[in-house]
Amino acid sequence: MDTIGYFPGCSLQGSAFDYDRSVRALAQQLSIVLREIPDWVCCGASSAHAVDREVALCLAADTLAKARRAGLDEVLVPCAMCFQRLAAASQELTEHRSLAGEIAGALGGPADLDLTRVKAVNPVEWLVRLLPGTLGTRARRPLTGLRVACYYGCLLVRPPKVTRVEEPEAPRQMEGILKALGATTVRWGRATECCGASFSLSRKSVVLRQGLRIWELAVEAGANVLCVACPMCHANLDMRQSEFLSEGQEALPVLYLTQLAGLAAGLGPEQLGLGDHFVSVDRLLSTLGPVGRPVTDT
Amino acid sequence: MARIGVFVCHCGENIARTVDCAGVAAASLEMPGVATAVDYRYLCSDPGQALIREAIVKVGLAGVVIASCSPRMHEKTFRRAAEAAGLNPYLCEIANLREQCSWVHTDRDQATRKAIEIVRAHVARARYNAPLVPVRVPLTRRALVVGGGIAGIQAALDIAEGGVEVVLVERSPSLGGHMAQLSETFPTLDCSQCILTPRMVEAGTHGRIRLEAYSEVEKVEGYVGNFQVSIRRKARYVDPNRCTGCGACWQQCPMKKLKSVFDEGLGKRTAIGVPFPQAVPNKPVIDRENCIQFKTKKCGRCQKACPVGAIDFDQQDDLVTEQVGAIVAATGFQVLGKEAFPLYADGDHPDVITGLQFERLASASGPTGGEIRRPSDGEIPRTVVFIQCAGSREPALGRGYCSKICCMYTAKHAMLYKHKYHPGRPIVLCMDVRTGGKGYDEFWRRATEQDGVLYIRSRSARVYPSGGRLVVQAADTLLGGERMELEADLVVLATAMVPQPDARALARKLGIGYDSDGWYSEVHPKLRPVECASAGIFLAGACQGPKDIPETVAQASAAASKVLGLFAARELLREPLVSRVHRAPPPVHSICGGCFACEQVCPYRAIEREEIRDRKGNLIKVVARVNAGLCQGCGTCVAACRAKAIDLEGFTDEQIVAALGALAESNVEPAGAR
Repeated sequence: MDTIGYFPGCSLQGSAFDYDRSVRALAQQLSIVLREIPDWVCCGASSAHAVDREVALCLAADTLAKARRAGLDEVLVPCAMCFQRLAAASQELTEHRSLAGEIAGALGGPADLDLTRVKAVNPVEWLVRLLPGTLGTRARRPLTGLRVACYYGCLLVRPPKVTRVEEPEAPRQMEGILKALGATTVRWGRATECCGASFSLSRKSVVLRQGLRIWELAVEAGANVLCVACPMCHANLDMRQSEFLSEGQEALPVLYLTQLAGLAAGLGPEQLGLGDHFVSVDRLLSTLGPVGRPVTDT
Repeated sequence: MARIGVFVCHCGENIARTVDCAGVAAASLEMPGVATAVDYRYLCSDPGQALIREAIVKVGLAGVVIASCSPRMHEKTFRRAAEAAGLNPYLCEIANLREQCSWVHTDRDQATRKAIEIVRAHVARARYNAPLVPVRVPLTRRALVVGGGIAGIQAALDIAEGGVEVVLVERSPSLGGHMAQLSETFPTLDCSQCILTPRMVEAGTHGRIRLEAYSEVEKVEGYVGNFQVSIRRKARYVDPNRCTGCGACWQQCPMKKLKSVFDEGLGKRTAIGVPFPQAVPNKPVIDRENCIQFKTKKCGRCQKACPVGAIDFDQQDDLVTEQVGAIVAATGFQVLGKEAFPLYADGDHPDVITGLQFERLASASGPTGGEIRRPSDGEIPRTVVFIQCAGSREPALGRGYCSKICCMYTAKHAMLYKHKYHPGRPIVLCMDVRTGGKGYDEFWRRATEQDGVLYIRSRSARVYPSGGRLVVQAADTLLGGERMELEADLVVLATAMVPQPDARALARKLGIGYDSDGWYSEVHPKLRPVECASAGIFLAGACQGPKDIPETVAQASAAASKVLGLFAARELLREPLVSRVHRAPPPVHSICGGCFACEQVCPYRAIEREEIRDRKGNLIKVVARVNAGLCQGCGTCVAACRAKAIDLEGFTDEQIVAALGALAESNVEPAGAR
C-alpha cells in the first residue's frame, strides 16, 4: 500500500476537522496510508513569516526534518496556508543548500539530514496524481448533476515558483479532477480571488464583501456548489454566507475537494464530515445518484 | 629587417588625455623593425592621412601600424591611405588605443605603458603581414524575395524597377500579407486595401517579377552572388494556366461554413477559393484538409462547375530551382491569438477579440460589412474596452519587447468605433501611450480630444463574463493601484506581434541569425540595419522586429537598394581575410588529413571537399577547401583543425604567436605590484 506523510496543522484539528475527516476517509478508501508526522509543530502561517524569516523557516523546517527522520519523501498538507509555508521553506532551502545544512543542524540533526528531499504536496496535486490509476478506477458514484465552481483562492496557487502551478492566475487542475469524476464545472472569473482570509477577525467587512463577490459570480455562472481546498476559504465562504447574503439570495454549499472526491469514491456524507457545514448540503446530496458502476474508465 | 612605421593618434583628447602619445611614439622607435614613429592630433583627418602617405613613400615603409581607435571605425580609412601611397592595404595594421586603452583607464602612467604594449604586439604581427588581394566572386544578377506582404512587394518592385529580375515567393495563395487584412491605416485613416491592392497587381504583373505564390523556400545553397534556391510549389489542385478566376468552383463548393483565415475566424469560406476577392494571383486553391472530394471521393462539384477544366485533384507539389545573387527575407510576423490569454475570459470568449480581428470587423470587406458588431450575438457594442500590451512588455510571459504598433492601432480602432457608432464608449487600458512617428501624436490627440476616447493608465488583470456582458478587472496605476471593474460589450486585445512560428527554421535554411525572441538579426542595429551577417542576404519588414507600415516600406526600399548596389558591380570583391587550407606540391599535396572537423564547425558552410587526383585521374586523397566566397574569416575552422592545415589570412598562427611573444618578452609590471 502506498504511504504518504500527513501534516494536518492546527486548522484541521479545529475549525476544519471535517476537512481532516474527509482526507483521512478518502485516503483509506483509496488504500493509501497517511502517516502523520510525529510531533509536528505549527507551520508558522499568518504571523511568523511576516515577523521573523528565520523563525518562519525553522518552524516549517522542523516539520520537514521530522518527516525526513521518519523516512518520508512527501507530506500531504491539506491546509493551503500550511502547504504554502512548507513548500516555501523547502524551496528556500533548495535554493540555499548551505542554509539547509545549517537549519538541519540547528534542529538537532543528524547533520546529513537532507531537508530538501521532503516535498509538501497539496490535495489538488495529490488527487491529480491519483486520478489515472487510483481515484479514477475506484470512483463508484458519478458526480452528475453537480455544477461546480472551483475556487482556488490565493495560497494554493501563488507564488508560482513555490506552488509549481503552471497558470497561477488561471488554474484548471480541480476542474480536471471533478470533470473526470462526472461533475460539470463552470467558467467564472473569481477562481483565484482572495477570500479575505487574514482579515477574518480584524476587518470583517472586507471578508463579507469578498465573499459576496465570489458567491455572486459562482451563482451567475450556474454553479450549485463551490469547491475549495483551504480551511480559511471554507470558513469565510461557508460560515459567513448567512452574513453576506441578503434575503432571497440562495445559499451555496461549500465543499472541500476531498469531500467531493470522497462522495465520488462512494463514501457517505457522515464519513466525510458533511453534516457539520453551516450551509446545508442536503439538497445537493439528494441530486446525486447511488453508488454503482465505475465513473471513469481511466 | 621590416621597415615599419608607427603612427600614434591623439584622437583629439580621447587618447591623449590618458595616454602620453609622444611617449608611445618614442618607445615604438625602440621596437625591432620600426623605421619611423610619430604622433599626431587627428590621423583620420586629411593632413593626418597625408602624413602617413608621405612617410610610406619617403621612408620606404613596408608596413604601418596605426595606433588609434577601433579598427571597426577607421581601418578602411587608413588602408585606403596606405593603398594610395602604393602599399598593399593589408599591410596596414590598427592598434586600438582608444576603446581598449584610453577610454577604459584613468591612470596615465599605466595607460601609457599598456598603450606601448599594444603597439608592440601589433608591430610584432605587422612584420608577418602579407600583401593580400581581394577575393573576386562571380555574380548572378537576379534576386529572391521571400514573403509577399507589403515588405516583400515593395522590395520586389523596387528591385525590378532597378532593372533586375526578381523571384517573389509567397507561401499563402495570395500576395498581400497582414496589410491586406487591415481596414484603415494610421495616422491618415486611408483605406489599407485601396493603397495596397494596386501594388499587389503591379507586383503580380511586372515583367521582371516572377511570382511564386503558394510556394515555400525548401533549401538554400551557395553564397553571395551565387545562391541556388529550391522552391516548393505546393499543389493548388487548380491549373493556374487554365483557371480564369471566374469563381464558378467556389460557388458550387458545399463546404460553406469553414472559418475564414483571412477574416481571422470571424467570417466563412469554402474549401476551394481565393482568400479574398482582390487576391493576386486570382486563382483558387483547394484546402485538402476540408475538401469532401479528398476525404470521401464523393463530391467533385467544383470540377463539374469549372468551365475550363482547371480542377486537378491529382496535382502534386513541384520543386523548382532558382539561381539568384541576393536574397531579401521579408517574412513578416504573426500576432498572438487570444487563446494565449487564459486570464481574459479563458481565452475563448467570442466577444474577446484580437486587434487583427477588430480590423476585419471594421473593414468594409469584412464579415460585418464594416459595422462593429460583436461576434456572439451580432449586437453593436455600447462599450468597447481595448487592452493594450496584451503579451508585449511582459517579461513574465517571456516577451520583454514592445510590439510598437499597438498604441497607434488601438487609437485608430477606438476612433473607427466612435466614427461608426457615435453613442459608443471606447475605453483604452494602457501602460502608457507611445506615439513616436510623423503625425502619430497628433493622431492620438485627435482620438482623445476630438473623438472622446477614454484612456486609463492601468494594468489589466482579468476579463470575465457577467450578466451577458464582460467585466474587465484592472488596477488604475495612476491612482496608486486602485482597483477598477469596467463593464464592456466587447473587449479588444492588442496582442503582441510575434515571429512567424517557423522563423527559426527558415533562418537556418538561409544561414542567418536571430535573437532570443526569434526576430532576424541585422549586422548593426544602427549603421547596417538591413544586412544580415551572411553576405548577400537582406532584411525587410517585421521579420526583423515589430514595425509599422511606413517603417516596413522604408526598410524594404533600403533592402532593395542594397541588392541593386550589390548588383552594380561586374563581379564581387570580398575581403581576403579568409581561411586557407594548406597545399603543397606532390608528393605532399596537403597536410590536411581529410577529417572534415572544419566542415562540422563552420557556421557559414564554407568548407568544400576537394579531390586530389594524379595525372591519370586516380584519387589520391580528399582534402578540405575553403570557398572564399562564403568564408567570413571567423577562424573557427583553424581552431578545429587537428592537423594545423588551416590558417586564416591576416591572422596566421605565426602572427598571433609573434604578437603574444612580444607581449611576453616585454618587461610588464604585474598588476597590483605597485
